[in-house]
Amino acid sequence: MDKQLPKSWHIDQRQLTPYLFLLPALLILGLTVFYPAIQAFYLSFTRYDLIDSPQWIGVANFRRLWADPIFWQTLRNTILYLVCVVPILVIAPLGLAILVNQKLRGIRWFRVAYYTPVIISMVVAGIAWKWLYADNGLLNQFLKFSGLSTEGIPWLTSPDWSIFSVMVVTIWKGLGYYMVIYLAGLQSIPEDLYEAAAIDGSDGFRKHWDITIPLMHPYLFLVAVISAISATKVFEEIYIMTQGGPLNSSKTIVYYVYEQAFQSLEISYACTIGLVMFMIILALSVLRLGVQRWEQRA
Amino acid sequence: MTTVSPEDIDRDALKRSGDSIVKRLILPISAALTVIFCLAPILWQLLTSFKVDADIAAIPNVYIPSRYTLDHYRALFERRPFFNYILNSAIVSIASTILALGLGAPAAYALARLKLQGERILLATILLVTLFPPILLFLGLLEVIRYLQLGNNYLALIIPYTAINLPLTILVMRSFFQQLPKDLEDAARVDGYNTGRMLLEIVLPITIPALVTTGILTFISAWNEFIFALTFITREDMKTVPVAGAQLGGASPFEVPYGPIAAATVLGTIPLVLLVLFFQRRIVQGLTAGAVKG
Repeated sequence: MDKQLPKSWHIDQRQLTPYLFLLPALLILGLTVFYPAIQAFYLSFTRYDLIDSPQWIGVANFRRLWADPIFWQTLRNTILYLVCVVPILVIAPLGLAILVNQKLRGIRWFRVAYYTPVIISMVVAGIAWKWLYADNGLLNQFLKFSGLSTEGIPWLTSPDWSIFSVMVVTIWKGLGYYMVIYLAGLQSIPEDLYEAAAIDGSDGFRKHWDITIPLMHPYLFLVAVISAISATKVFEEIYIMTQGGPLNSSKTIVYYVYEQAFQSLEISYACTIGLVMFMIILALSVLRLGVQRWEQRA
Repeated sequence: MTTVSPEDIDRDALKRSGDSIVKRLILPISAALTVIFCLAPILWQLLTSFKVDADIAAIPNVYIPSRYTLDHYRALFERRPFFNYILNSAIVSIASTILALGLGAPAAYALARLKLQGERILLATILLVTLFPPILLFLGLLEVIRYLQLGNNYLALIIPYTAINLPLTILVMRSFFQQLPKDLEDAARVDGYNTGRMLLEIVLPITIPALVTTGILTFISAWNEFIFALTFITREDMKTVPVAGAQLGGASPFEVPYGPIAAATVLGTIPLVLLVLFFQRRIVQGLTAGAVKG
Protein backbone atom coordinates (compact mmCIF):
# COMPACT_ATOMS: atom_id res chain seq x y z
CA MET A 1 0.00 0.00 0.00
CA ASP A 2 2.67 2.48 1.06
CA LYS A 3 4.86 1.76 -1.91
CA GLN A 4 2.10 2.53 -4.34
CA LEU A 5 1.14 5.68 -2.59
CA PRO A 6 2.66 8.24 -4.96
CA LYS A 7 0.99 6.71 -7.96
CA SER A 8 -2.43 6.08 -6.50
CA TRP A 9 -2.35 9.41 -4.68
CA HIS A 10 -2.42 11.06 -8.02
CA ILE A 11 -5.31 9.20 -9.58
CA ASP A 12 -7.34 9.24 -6.64
CA GLN A 13 -8.96 12.45 -5.99
CA ARG A 14 -11.70 11.06 -8.19
CA GLN A 15 -11.71 7.54 -6.87
CA LEU A 16 -11.96 8.92 -3.38
CA THR A 17 -15.08 10.98 -4.07
CA PRO A 18 -17.60 8.13 -3.69
CA TYR A 19 -16.24 7.32 -0.26
CA LEU A 20 -16.36 10.93 0.80
CA PHE A 21 -19.98 10.98 -0.34
CA LEU A 22 -20.70 8.01 1.87
CA LEU A 23 -18.64 8.95 4.89
CA PRO A 24 -20.97 11.36 6.74
CA ALA A 25 -23.92 9.01 6.43
CA LEU A 26 -21.86 6.08 7.65
CA LEU A 27 -20.46 8.07 10.56
CA ILE A 28 -23.87 9.01 11.88
CA LEU A 29 -25.10 5.45 11.40
CA GLY A 30 -22.06 4.15 13.24
CA LEU A 31 -22.60 6.45 16.17
CA THR A 32 -26.33 5.94 16.61
CA VAL A 33 -26.94 2.47 15.24
CA PHE A 34 -23.88 0.26 15.08
CA TYR A 35 -22.28 1.24 18.35
CA PRO A 36 -25.51 0.77 20.33
CA ALA A 37 -26.16 -2.49 18.49
CA ILE A 38 -22.76 -3.86 19.43
CA GLN A 39 -23.35 -2.71 22.97
CA ALA A 40 -26.65 -4.61 23.04
CA PHE A 41 -24.93 -7.67 21.60
CA TYR A 42 -22.36 -7.56 24.39
CA LEU A 43 -24.96 -6.99 27.11
CA SER A 44 -26.93 -10.06 26.06
CA PHE A 45 -24.07 -12.18 27.43
CA THR A 46 -24.08 -10.39 30.76
CA ARG A 47 -26.19 -9.74 33.79
CA TYR A 48 -27.00 -6.04 33.89
CA ASP A 49 -29.67 -4.04 35.67
CA LEU A 50 -28.49 -0.44 35.11
CA ILE A 51 -27.20 -0.24 38.68
CA ASP A 52 -24.21 -2.57 38.92
CA SER A 53 -21.82 -2.83 36.02
CA PRO A 54 -22.42 -5.71 33.57
CA GLN A 55 -21.23 -9.16 34.66
CA TRP A 56 -20.31 -11.77 32.05
CA ILE A 57 -22.56 -14.81 32.39
CA GLY A 58 -22.06 -16.50 29.03
CA VAL A 59 -25.12 -17.97 27.37
CA ALA A 60 -27.27 -18.10 30.50
CA ASN A 61 -29.66 -15.52 29.06
CA PHE A 62 -30.10 -17.61 25.93
CA ARG A 63 -30.87 -20.70 27.99
CA ARG A 64 -33.44 -18.75 29.92
CA LEU A 65 -34.93 -17.55 26.64
CA TRP A 66 -35.26 -21.07 25.27
CA ALA A 67 -37.25 -22.10 28.33
CA ASP A 68 -39.39 -18.96 28.42
CA PRO A 69 -42.95 -19.71 27.23
CA ILE A 70 -43.80 -16.04 26.93
CA PHE A 71 -40.94 -15.56 24.49
CA TRP A 72 -42.32 -18.34 22.30
CA GLN A 73 -45.76 -16.83 22.45
CA THR A 74 -44.50 -13.40 21.47
CA LEU A 75 -42.58 -15.01 18.62
CA ARG A 76 -45.77 -16.71 17.39
CA ASN A 77 -47.63 -13.42 17.68
CA THR A 78 -44.98 -11.61 15.67
CA ILE A 79 -45.08 -14.22 12.92
CA LEU A 80 -48.87 -14.06 12.86
CA TYR A 81 -48.57 -10.31 12.54
CA LEU A 82 -46.24 -10.62 9.57
CA VAL A 83 -48.31 -13.21 7.77
CA CYS A 84 -51.50 -11.21 8.09
CA VAL A 85 -50.28 -7.65 7.60
CA VAL A 86 -47.62 -7.86 4.89
CA PRO A 87 -49.69 -9.33 2.02
CA ILE A 88 -52.41 -6.73 2.60
CA LEU A 89 -49.88 -3.91 2.70
CA VAL A 90 -48.23 -5.07 -0.52
CA ILE A 91 -51.40 -5.46 -2.56
CA ALA A 92 -53.96 -2.94 -1.33
CA PRO A 93 -51.75 0.17 -1.65
CA LEU A 94 -50.90 -0.72 -5.25
CA GLY A 95 -54.61 -0.75 -6.04
CA LEU A 96 -55.00 2.61 -4.35
CA ALA A 97 -51.98 4.02 -6.19
CA ILE A 98 -53.37 2.91 -9.55
CA LEU A 99 -56.71 4.43 -8.60
CA VAL A 100 -55.39 7.82 -7.56
CA ASN A 101 -52.91 7.94 -10.42
CA GLN A 102 -55.80 8.37 -12.83
CA LYS A 103 -56.38 11.79 -14.25
CA LEU A 104 -59.84 12.37 -12.90
CA ARG A 105 -61.33 15.49 -11.42
CA GLY A 106 -61.18 15.52 -7.66
CA ILE A 107 -58.89 12.51 -7.51
CA ARG A 108 -56.42 14.49 -5.43
CA TRP A 109 -58.92 14.49 -2.57
CA PHE A 110 -58.91 10.71 -2.59
CA ARG A 111 -55.15 10.83 -2.55
CA VAL A 112 -55.21 13.13 0.48
CA ALA A 113 -57.82 10.97 2.21
CA TYR A 114 -55.78 7.80 1.82
CA TYR A 115 -52.64 9.53 2.89
CA THR A 116 -54.07 11.18 5.99
CA PRO A 117 -53.63 8.22 8.40
CA VAL A 118 -49.92 8.17 7.56
CA ILE A 119 -49.38 11.64 8.89
CA ILE A 120 -51.19 11.01 12.14
CA SER A 121 -48.80 10.07 14.89
CA MET A 122 -49.15 6.46 15.99
CA VAL A 123 -49.79 7.62 19.52
CA VAL A 124 -52.80 9.57 18.38
CA ALA A 125 -53.93 6.84 16.00
CA GLY A 126 -53.72 4.31 18.80
CA ILE A 127 -55.78 6.54 21.07
CA ALA A 128 -58.36 7.17 18.35
CA TRP A 129 -58.76 3.47 17.55
CA LYS A 130 -58.74 2.40 21.17
CA TRP A 131 -61.70 4.62 21.55
CA LEU A 132 -63.46 3.24 18.48
CA TYR A 133 -62.85 -0.26 19.83
CA ALA A 134 -64.16 0.48 23.33
CA ASP A 135 -67.06 -1.55 24.72
CA ASN A 136 -69.36 1.35 24.04
CA GLY A 137 -67.25 2.77 21.25
CA LEU A 138 -68.33 3.72 17.78
CA LEU A 139 -67.82 0.25 16.29
CA ASN A 140 -69.80 -1.67 18.88
CA GLN A 141 -72.56 0.89 18.90
CA PHE A 142 -72.78 0.50 15.16
CA LEU A 143 -72.89 -3.29 15.43
CA LYS A 144 -75.63 -3.15 18.03
CA PHE A 145 -77.59 -0.51 16.19
CA SER A 146 -77.48 -2.39 12.90
CA GLY A 147 -78.39 -5.66 14.61
CA LEU A 148 -75.22 -7.42 13.44
CA SER A 149 -74.32 -8.25 17.00
CA THR A 150 -76.25 -7.84 20.23
CA GLU A 151 -73.28 -8.03 22.54
CA GLY A 152 -70.72 -6.12 20.55
CA ILE A 153 -67.23 -7.45 19.96
CA PRO A 154 -64.54 -7.34 22.67
CA TRP A 155 -62.06 -5.86 20.19
CA LEU A 156 -59.24 -5.21 22.59
CA THR A 157 -60.38 -7.10 25.65
CA SER A 158 -60.54 -10.64 24.28
CA PRO A 159 -57.43 -12.74 23.61
CA ASP A 160 -59.08 -13.96 20.41
CA TRP A 161 -59.52 -10.49 18.97
CA SER A 162 -56.92 -8.15 20.36
CA ILE A 163 -53.99 -8.85 18.04
CA PHE A 164 -56.19 -8.61 14.96
CA SER A 165 -57.69 -5.37 16.17
CA VAL A 166 -54.21 -3.94 16.55
CA MET A 167 -53.28 -5.19 13.07
CA VAL A 168 -56.11 -3.14 11.60
CA VAL A 169 -54.46 -0.02 12.98
CA THR A 170 -51.09 -0.96 11.50
CA ILE A 171 -52.75 -1.51 8.13
CA TRP A 172 -54.79 1.65 8.48
CA LYS A 173 -51.64 3.67 9.00
CA GLY A 174 -49.63 1.86 6.33
CA LEU A 175 -51.94 2.00 3.30
CA GLY A 176 -51.19 5.57 2.29
CA TYR A 177 -47.48 5.31 2.99
CA TYR A 178 -46.97 2.44 0.61
CA MET A 179 -49.39 4.02 -1.85
CA VAL A 180 -47.01 6.98 -2.17
CA ILE A 181 -44.06 4.69 -2.81
CA TYR A 182 -46.07 2.96 -5.53
CA LEU A 183 -47.24 6.29 -6.87
CA ALA A 184 -43.66 7.40 -7.33
CA GLY A 185 -43.05 4.20 -9.27
CA LEU A 186 -46.18 4.60 -11.37
CA GLN A 187 -45.18 8.12 -12.31
CA SER A 188 -41.95 6.80 -13.70
CA ILE A 189 -43.72 4.50 -16.16
CA PRO A 190 -43.76 6.36 -19.49
CA GLU A 191 -47.24 7.21 -20.74
CA ASP A 192 -46.43 5.95 -24.25
CA LEU A 193 -46.12 2.41 -22.94
CA TYR A 194 -49.81 2.46 -22.10
CA GLU A 195 -50.63 4.04 -25.43
CA ALA A 196 -48.67 1.35 -27.23
CA ALA A 197 -50.42 -1.28 -25.16
CA ALA A 198 -53.80 0.20 -26.02
CA ILE A 199 -52.99 -0.16 -29.71
CA ASP A 200 -52.11 -3.79 -29.06
CA GLY A 201 -55.50 -4.26 -27.45
CA SER A 202 -54.40 -4.16 -23.85
CA ASP A 203 -56.70 -1.73 -22.13
CA GLY A 204 -58.74 -1.22 -19.01
CA PHE A 205 -57.55 -3.43 -16.24
CA ARG A 206 -55.50 -5.67 -18.47
CA LYS A 207 -53.06 -2.89 -19.12
CA HIS A 208 -52.17 -2.89 -15.45
CA TRP A 209 -51.61 -6.61 -15.55
CA ASP A 210 -49.52 -6.35 -18.72
CA ILE A 211 -47.52 -3.23 -17.92
CA THR A 212 -47.95 -1.86 -14.43
CA ILE A 213 -47.31 -5.00 -12.41
CA PRO A 214 -44.19 -6.16 -14.28
CA LEU A 215 -42.66 -2.67 -14.25
CA MET A 216 -43.59 -2.14 -10.62
CA HIS A 217 -41.83 -5.34 -9.62
CA PRO A 218 -38.95 -3.54 -7.85
CA TYR A 219 -41.43 -1.41 -5.94
CA LEU A 220 -43.52 -4.41 -4.92
CA PHE A 221 -40.34 -5.90 -3.60
CA LEU A 222 -39.37 -2.70 -1.80
CA VAL A 223 -42.79 -2.45 -0.15
CA ALA A 224 -42.73 -6.12 0.85
CA VAL A 225 -39.37 -5.65 2.53
CA ILE A 226 -40.23 -2.39 4.26
CA SER A 227 -43.64 -3.53 5.45
CA ALA A 228 -42.26 -6.85 6.69
CA ILE A 229 -39.52 -5.15 8.64
CA SER A 230 -41.88 -2.62 10.15
CA ALA A 231 -44.39 -5.35 10.99
CA THR A 232 -41.78 -7.18 13.04
CA LYS A 233 -41.02 -3.94 14.85
CA VAL A 234 -44.58 -3.03 15.76
CA PHE A 235 -44.57 -1.38 19.13
CA GLU A 236 -46.42 1.88 19.61
CA GLU A 237 -49.86 0.60 18.64
CA ILE A 238 -49.51 -2.14 21.23
CA TYR A 239 -48.09 0.20 23.85
CA ILE A 240 -51.04 2.53 23.49
CA MET A 241 -53.87 0.09 22.86
CA THR A 242 -53.35 -3.19 24.68
CA GLN A 243 -50.03 -3.17 26.53
CA GLY A 244 -49.60 -6.66 25.08
CA GLY A 245 -52.73 -8.04 26.71
CA PRO A 246 -55.01 -9.62 27.45
CA LEU A 247 -53.05 -12.70 28.54
CA ASN A 248 -50.11 -11.76 26.31
CA SER A 249 -52.34 -12.29 23.28
CA SER A 250 -51.16 -9.16 21.50
CA LYS A 251 -47.64 -9.09 22.85
CA THR A 252 -45.05 -8.99 20.08
CA ILE A 253 -41.33 -9.56 20.51
CA VAL A 254 -40.50 -5.86 20.48
CA TYR A 255 -43.07 -5.16 23.14
CA TYR A 256 -41.61 -7.98 25.21
CA VAL A 257 -38.16 -6.43 24.83
CA TYR A 258 -39.56 -3.13 26.03
CA GLU A 259 -41.35 -4.74 28.93
CA GLN A 260 -38.27 -6.61 30.10
CA ALA A 261 -36.00 -3.58 29.74
CA PHE A 262 -38.13 -0.80 31.13
CA GLN A 263 -40.65 -2.47 33.39
CA SER A 264 -38.70 -5.42 34.80
CA LEU A 265 -35.32 -3.70 34.35
CA GLU A 266 -33.96 -6.96 32.98
CA ILE A 267 -31.73 -5.04 30.62
CA SER A 268 -29.48 -7.85 29.54
CA TYR A 269 -32.31 -10.32 29.07
CA ALA A 270 -34.10 -7.71 26.97
CA CYS A 271 -30.98 -7.43 24.84
CA THR A 272 -30.94 -11.20 24.42
CA ILE A 273 -34.54 -11.27 23.20
CA GLY A 274 -33.80 -8.35 20.90
CA LEU A 275 -30.74 -10.10 19.53
CA VAL A 276 -32.64 -13.28 18.75
CA MET A 277 -35.34 -11.22 17.10
CA PHE A 278 -32.75 -9.40 15.05
CA MET A 279 -31.30 -12.74 13.95
CA ILE A 280 -34.73 -13.86 12.77
CA ILE A 281 -35.26 -10.67 10.79
CA LEU A 282 -31.78 -11.00 9.37
CA ALA A 283 -32.43 -14.59 8.29
CA LEU A 284 -35.67 -13.50 6.63
CA SER A 285 -33.98 -10.72 4.70
CA VAL A 286 -31.09 -12.90 3.59
CA LEU A 287 -33.61 -15.46 2.39
CA ARG A 288 -35.47 -12.76 0.55
CA LEU A 289 -32.33 -11.34 -1.03
CA GLY A 290 -31.52 -14.85 -2.20
CA VAL A 291 -34.94 -15.21 -3.79
CA GLN A 292 -34.53 -11.86 -5.50
CA ARG A 293 -31.17 -12.76 -6.94
CA TRP A 294 -32.48 -16.11 -8.08
CA GLU A 295 -35.42 -14.39 -9.78
CA GLN A 296 -33.14 -11.97 -11.56
CA ARG A 297 -31.07 -14.81 -12.88
CA ALA A 298 -34.06 -16.79 -14.06
CA MET B 1 -55.18 8.80 -24.87
CA THR B 2 -56.48 12.30 -25.45
CA THR B 3 -57.12 11.90 -29.16
CA VAL B 4 -60.08 9.69 -29.95
CA SER B 5 -60.12 8.05 -33.35
CA PRO B 6 -63.09 6.07 -34.70
CA GLU B 7 -61.30 2.80 -34.01
CA ASP B 8 -60.86 3.73 -30.38
CA ILE B 9 -64.56 4.29 -29.95
CA ASP B 10 -65.36 0.90 -31.49
CA ARG B 11 -62.94 -0.89 -29.27
CA ASP B 12 -64.19 0.97 -26.24
CA ALA B 13 -67.71 -0.10 -27.04
CA LEU B 14 -66.57 -3.72 -27.05
CA LYS B 15 -64.59 -3.35 -23.87
CA ARG B 16 -67.31 -1.52 -22.05
CA SER B 17 -69.42 -4.56 -21.36
CA GLY B 18 -66.59 -6.25 -19.46
CA ASP B 19 -65.11 -3.28 -17.72
CA SER B 20 -68.21 -1.36 -16.88
CA ILE B 21 -69.34 -3.27 -13.81
CA VAL B 22 -65.93 -3.01 -12.29
CA LYS B 23 -65.51 0.59 -13.33
CA ARG B 24 -68.92 1.88 -12.43
CA LEU B 25 -69.72 -0.07 -9.31
CA ILE B 26 -67.00 -2.01 -7.58
CA LEU B 27 -64.29 0.58 -8.06
CA PRO B 28 -66.15 3.62 -6.76
CA ILE B 29 -67.68 1.69 -3.88
CA SER B 30 -64.40 0.25 -2.69
CA ALA B 31 -62.72 3.62 -3.18
CA ALA B 32 -65.39 5.29 -1.09
CA LEU B 33 -65.32 2.61 1.61
CA THR B 34 -61.57 3.02 1.85
CA VAL B 35 -62.03 6.76 2.26
CA ILE B 36 -64.42 6.11 5.13
CA PHE B 37 -62.02 3.60 6.66
CA CYS B 38 -59.17 6.09 6.44
CA LEU B 39 -60.98 9.18 7.62
CA ALA B 40 -63.60 8.01 10.12
CA PRO B 41 -61.26 7.67 13.11
CA ILE B 42 -59.81 11.10 12.42
CA LEU B 43 -63.14 12.80 11.85
CA TRP B 44 -64.43 11.25 15.04
CA GLN B 45 -61.51 12.80 16.89
CA LEU B 46 -62.15 16.12 15.19
CA LEU B 47 -65.80 16.01 16.20
CA THR B 48 -64.90 14.99 19.75
CA SER B 49 -62.52 17.90 20.12
CA PHE B 50 -65.46 20.28 19.73
CA LYS B 51 -67.96 18.38 21.87
CA VAL B 52 -68.81 19.31 25.44
CA ASP B 53 -67.81 16.74 28.06
CA ALA B 54 -71.37 15.53 28.61
CA ASP B 55 -71.75 14.72 24.91
CA ILE B 56 -68.40 12.94 24.82
CA ALA B 57 -69.40 10.63 27.66
CA ALA B 58 -72.94 10.09 26.40
CA ILE B 59 -74.18 6.63 25.45
CA PRO B 60 -75.45 6.18 22.79
CA ASN B 61 -72.92 8.32 20.97
CA VAL B 62 -73.77 11.83 19.99
CA TYR B 63 -73.13 12.05 16.27
CA ILE B 64 -74.47 15.53 15.71
CA PRO B 65 -73.97 17.58 18.86
CA SER B 66 -76.27 20.46 19.60
CA ARG B 67 -73.53 22.36 21.42
CA TYR B 68 -69.94 22.97 20.38
CA THR B 69 -67.07 24.21 22.50
CA LEU B 70 -63.48 25.38 22.18
CA ASP B 71 -62.73 24.63 25.84
CA HIS B 72 -60.57 21.61 25.07
CA TYR B 73 -58.31 23.68 22.85
CA ARG B 74 -58.16 26.48 25.36
CA ALA B 75 -57.18 23.95 28.03
CA LEU B 76 -54.21 22.80 25.94
CA PHE B 77 -52.73 26.25 25.68
CA GLU B 78 -53.67 27.49 29.12
CA ARG B 79 -52.67 24.50 31.17
CA ARG B 80 -49.83 23.26 29.03
CA PRO B 81 -47.19 24.85 26.77
CA PHE B 82 -48.78 23.31 23.70
CA PHE B 83 -47.36 25.88 21.34
CA ASN B 84 -43.92 24.86 22.55
CA TYR B 85 -44.66 21.21 21.84
CA ILE B 86 -45.52 22.04 18.25
CA LEU B 87 -42.45 24.22 17.90
CA ASN B 88 -40.23 21.47 19.33
CA SER B 89 -41.64 18.90 16.96
CA ALA B 90 -41.10 21.29 14.06
CA ILE B 91 -37.48 22.05 14.94
CA VAL B 92 -36.55 18.43 15.45
CA SER B 93 -38.37 17.18 12.35
CA ILE B 94 -37.12 19.87 9.97
CA ALA B 95 -33.54 19.53 11.13
CA SER B 96 -33.49 15.76 10.83
CA THR B 97 -35.17 15.88 7.43
CA ILE B 98 -32.57 18.29 6.07
CA LEU B 99 -29.78 16.23 7.59
CA ALA B 100 -31.14 12.95 6.26
CA LEU B 101 -31.43 14.38 2.75
CA GLY B 102 -28.10 16.17 2.94
CA LEU B 103 -26.26 13.07 4.06
CA GLY B 104 -28.42 10.56 2.26
CA ALA B 105 -28.47 12.01 -1.24
CA PRO B 106 -24.68 11.97 -1.81
CA ALA B 107 -24.45 8.49 -0.30
CA ALA B 108 -27.28 7.29 -2.51
CA TYR B 109 -25.63 8.83 -5.54
CA ALA B 110 -22.34 7.15 -4.77
CA LEU B 111 -24.11 3.83 -4.46
CA ALA B 112 -26.16 4.34 -7.60
CA ARG B 113 -23.63 5.75 -10.01
CA LEU B 114 -20.06 5.93 -8.79
CA LYS B 115 -17.38 3.28 -8.91
CA LEU B 116 -17.14 1.85 -5.48
CA GLN B 117 -15.22 -0.99 -3.91
CA GLY B 118 -17.41 -3.15 -1.72
CA GLU B 119 -20.63 -1.57 -2.91
CA ARG B 120 -22.58 -4.68 -1.99
CA ILE B 121 -21.23 -4.77 1.52
CA LEU B 122 -22.04 -1.10 2.01
CA LEU B 123 -25.55 -1.61 0.73
CA ALA B 124 -26.01 -4.62 2.96
CA THR B 125 -24.74 -2.61 5.91
CA ILE B 126 -27.26 0.11 5.23
CA LEU B 127 -30.03 -2.46 4.85
CA LEU B 128 -28.90 -3.98 8.12
CA VAL B 129 -29.65 -0.71 9.88
CA THR B 130 -33.30 -0.94 8.94
CA LEU B 131 -33.49 -4.29 10.64
CA PHE B 132 -32.52 -3.15 14.11
CA PRO B 133 -35.55 -2.53 16.24
CA PRO B 134 -35.01 0.96 17.70
CA ILE B 135 -35.67 -0.41 21.18
CA LEU B 136 -32.55 -2.50 20.90
CA LEU B 137 -30.46 0.62 20.26
CA PHE B 138 -31.79 2.37 23.28
CA LEU B 139 -29.28 1.62 25.96
CA GLY B 140 -26.25 2.20 23.80
CA LEU B 141 -27.78 5.40 22.52
CA LEU B 142 -28.47 6.59 26.03
CA GLU B 143 -24.79 6.15 26.73
CA VAL B 144 -23.78 8.05 23.60
CA ILE B 145 -26.12 10.85 24.56
CA ARG B 146 -24.85 10.93 28.11
CA TYR B 147 -21.26 10.93 26.86
CA LEU B 148 -21.89 13.78 24.44
CA GLN B 149 -23.98 15.53 27.11
CA LEU B 150 -26.96 15.87 24.84
CA GLY B 151 -29.67 15.09 27.36
CA ASN B 152 -32.53 17.57 26.99
CA ASN B 153 -30.96 18.88 23.81
CA TYR B 154 -32.70 18.83 20.45
CA LEU B 155 -29.67 17.02 19.03
CA ALA B 156 -30.54 14.02 21.20
CA LEU B 157 -33.53 13.57 18.93
CA ILE B 158 -32.24 15.04 15.69
CA ILE B 159 -29.29 12.67 15.42
CA PRO B 160 -31.19 9.41 16.03
CA TYR B 161 -34.06 10.53 13.79
CA THR B 162 -31.60 11.28 11.01
CA ALA B 163 -29.94 7.91 11.47
CA ILE B 164 -33.20 6.00 11.54
CA ASN B 165 -34.37 7.66 8.33
CA LEU B 166 -31.07 7.55 6.47
CA PRO B 167 -31.39 4.00 5.16
CA LEU B 168 -34.78 4.61 3.60
CA THR B 169 -33.59 7.92 2.19
CA ILE B 170 -30.54 6.27 0.71
CA LEU B 171 -32.42 3.30 -0.73
CA VAL B 172 -35.21 5.35 -2.25
CA MET B 173 -32.91 8.06 -3.60
CA ARG B 174 -30.62 5.42 -4.99
CA SER B 175 -33.41 3.86 -6.99
CA PHE B 176 -34.40 7.31 -8.25
CA PHE B 177 -30.83 8.03 -9.33
CA GLN B 178 -30.60 4.71 -11.10
CA GLN B 179 -33.66 5.55 -13.13
CA LEU B 180 -32.22 8.83 -14.36
CA PRO B 181 -31.00 8.74 -17.93
CA LYS B 182 -27.22 8.92 -17.98
CA ASP B 183 -26.98 11.42 -20.84
CA LEU B 184 -27.10 14.47 -18.62
CA GLU B 185 -24.25 13.31 -16.43
CA ASP B 186 -22.18 12.27 -19.42
CA ALA B 187 -22.70 15.70 -20.92
CA ALA B 188 -21.75 17.33 -17.63
CA ARG B 189 -18.55 15.28 -17.47
CA VAL B 190 -17.67 16.44 -20.95
CA ASP B 191 -18.25 19.99 -19.79
CA GLY B 192 -15.70 19.41 -17.04
CA TYR B 193 -17.99 19.24 -14.00
CA ASN B 194 -16.56 17.34 -11.06
CA THR B 195 -18.77 14.84 -9.27
CA GLY B 196 -19.76 17.14 -6.42
CA ARG B 197 -20.77 20.01 -8.67
CA MET B 198 -22.56 17.64 -11.01
CA LEU B 199 -24.63 16.23 -8.16
CA LEU B 200 -25.42 19.65 -6.79
CA GLU B 201 -26.14 21.52 -10.01
CA ILE B 202 -27.44 18.89 -12.38
CA VAL B 203 -28.62 15.72 -10.72
CA LEU B 204 -30.31 17.09 -7.60
CA PRO B 205 -32.34 19.79 -9.37
CA ILE B 206 -34.01 17.21 -11.59
CA THR B 207 -34.66 14.94 -8.63
CA ILE B 208 -36.40 17.58 -6.55
CA PRO B 209 -39.71 15.71 -6.64
CA ALA B 210 -37.88 12.64 -5.37
CA LEU B 211 -36.19 14.68 -2.66
CA VAL B 212 -39.53 16.13 -1.63
CA THR B 213 -41.13 12.70 -1.52
CA THR B 214 -38.34 11.23 0.55
CA GLY B 215 -38.12 14.33 2.70
CA ILE B 216 -41.80 14.22 3.53
CA LEU B 217 -41.53 10.59 4.59
CA THR B 218 -38.63 11.49 6.86
CA PHE B 219 -40.37 14.54 8.25
CA ILE B 220 -43.48 12.57 9.12
CA SER B 221 -41.54 9.79 10.76
CA ALA B 222 -39.60 12.30 12.85
CA TRP B 223 -42.73 14.24 13.75
CA ASN B 224 -44.44 11.08 14.91
CA GLU B 225 -41.59 9.42 16.75
CA PHE B 226 -42.51 8.59 20.29
CA ILE B 227 -40.16 6.37 22.25
CA PHE B 228 -36.93 8.32 21.84
CA ALA B 229 -38.74 11.57 22.46
CA LEU B 230 -40.28 10.10 25.58
CA THR B 231 -36.93 8.96 26.96
CA PHE B 232 -34.34 11.51 25.88
CA ILE B 233 -36.29 14.66 26.63
CA THR B 234 -37.55 15.16 30.14
CA ARG B 235 -37.87 18.94 30.28
CA GLU B 236 -41.54 19.81 29.98
CA ASP B 237 -41.07 22.74 27.59
CA MET B 238 -38.93 20.67 25.22
CA LYS B 239 -41.34 17.79 24.73
CA THR B 240 -42.72 16.93 21.31
CA VAL B 241 -46.35 16.63 20.34
CA PRO B 242 -46.73 12.82 20.47
CA VAL B 243 -45.21 12.63 23.94
CA ALA B 244 -47.39 15.48 25.15
CA GLY B 245 -50.43 13.79 23.61
CA ALA B 246 -49.69 10.46 25.22
CA GLN B 247 -49.06 12.05 28.58
CA LEU B 248 -52.48 13.64 28.51
CA GLY B 249 -53.58 10.19 29.61
CA GLY B 250 -53.69 8.11 26.47
CA ALA B 251 -51.91 5.14 27.90
CA SER B 252 -53.92 4.92 31.10
CA PRO B 253 -57.33 3.27 31.04
CA PHE B 254 -58.86 5.44 33.74
CA GLU B 255 -60.15 8.99 33.66
CA VAL B 256 -59.14 9.66 30.10
CA PRO B 257 -59.52 13.34 29.23
CA TYR B 258 -60.91 12.60 25.78
CA GLY B 259 -61.67 16.18 24.87
CA PRO B 260 -58.16 17.62 25.34
CA ILE B 261 -56.63 14.50 23.78
CA ALA B 262 -58.80 14.91 20.72
CA ALA B 263 -57.91 18.59 20.53
CA ALA B 264 -54.22 17.71 20.79
CA THR B 265 -54.68 15.19 17.99
CA VAL B 266 -56.18 17.81 15.76
CA LEU B 267 -53.60 20.49 16.53
CA GLY B 268 -50.69 18.12 16.13
CA THR B 269 -52.00 16.93 12.80
CA ILE B 270 -52.93 20.22 11.16
CA PRO B 271 -49.35 21.19 10.23
CA LEU B 272 -48.84 17.81 8.57
CA VAL B 273 -52.10 17.97 6.65
CA LEU B 274 -51.12 21.41 5.38
CA LEU B 275 -47.71 20.12 4.39
CA VAL B 276 -49.14 17.24 2.40
CA LEU B 277 -51.79 19.42 0.77
CA PHE B 278 -49.14 21.93 -0.19
CA PHE B 279 -46.62 19.47 -1.56
CA GLN B 280 -48.80 16.73 -2.93
CA ARG B 281 -48.88 18.15 -6.44
CA ARG B 282 -45.12 18.13 -6.39
CA ILE B 283 -44.95 14.55 -5.14
CA VAL B 284 -47.20 13.57 -7.93
CA GLN B 285 -45.36 15.37 -10.71
CA GLY B 286 -43.46 13.21 -13.07
CA LEU B 287 -40.16 12.44 -11.44
CA THR B 288 -37.92 13.04 -14.38
CA ALA B 289 -40.50 14.94 -16.37
CA GLY B 290 -38.96 17.17 -18.97
CA ALA B 291 -35.41 16.44 -17.91
CA VAL B 292 -34.12 14.87 -21.10
CA LYS B 293 -36.59 16.15 -23.60
CA GLY B 294 -34.35 18.84 -25.05
